[in-house]
Amino acid sequence: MTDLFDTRRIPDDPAHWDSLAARVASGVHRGGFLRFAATPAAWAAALLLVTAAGLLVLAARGSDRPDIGRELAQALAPADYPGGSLVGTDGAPAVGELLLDAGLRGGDR
Amino acid sequence: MGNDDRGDAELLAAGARGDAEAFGVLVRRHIRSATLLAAQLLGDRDDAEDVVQDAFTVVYDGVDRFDSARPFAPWLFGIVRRLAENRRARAARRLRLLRRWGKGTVAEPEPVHVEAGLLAGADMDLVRRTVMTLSPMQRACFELVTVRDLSPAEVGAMHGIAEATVRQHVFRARQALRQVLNPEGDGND
Repeated sequence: MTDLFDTRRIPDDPAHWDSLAARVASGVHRGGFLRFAATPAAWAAALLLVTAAGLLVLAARGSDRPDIGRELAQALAPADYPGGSLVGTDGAPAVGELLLDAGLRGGDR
Repeated sequence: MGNDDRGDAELLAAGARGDAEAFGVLVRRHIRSATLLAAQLLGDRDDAEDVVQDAFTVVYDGVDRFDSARPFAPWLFGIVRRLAENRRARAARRLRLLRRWGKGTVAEPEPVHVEAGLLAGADMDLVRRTVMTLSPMQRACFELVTVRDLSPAEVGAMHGIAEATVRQHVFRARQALRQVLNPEGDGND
């Protein structure tokens, strides 16, 4: 059988019970969100949100990383002006620029 | 507590609709019994008050589960007993772990014994030995009825036993103690 204890440490006067009852009743009404916040479900939801936020931050930072491909292309680019000017640009340089620049540099034929 | 004539079910329903005053009356009406019950089950005042707080929270949140055709007090006391048993089970697990790892001194809660004032002048060792021959429920019923002046009906509702059983426990406890206090007595109850 479950052991039972005596209650001599419990005060037994109306003032004590009035005070305890007021505390208990206000605690029940104050609960609501606070009660939910203390539940395992709330902690799990908070953990998921933090994890999702962390993943979003990492994803955003990833887009700021240098374009490795572009850096490699630059490193491997031809040394001559026309070839070098073609690397790293989305479109071909204007022909006029190439001829003008080649003239100034005494470029390769 | 005032002189509110509303029944428990009415107060609970009003409280669920947002009437904080009504819910407060309901709490005040049952706080003593609920706390004494929790204290008997847990042996600690703070734990008992925590359990009572949790019990009334369960009541408030679970008002839809309450059958208003049935009395409120036994429902409340059942919640208190369940919450107290859960807390005892958690404490027992912690105790086993502490013992296993031998950390510190583990203080055991004191078991029930009768209010010393009742037995002033008696051989307390003999009284304690006599009390310990009683079952835990006999001791608990005796304390609540004789010391705390609760009705056998209420004590029965608190512990989930019949009123007649409570009376029987109290009678046996008194009989055992009377033999200690007045061994040459006249046999009257």
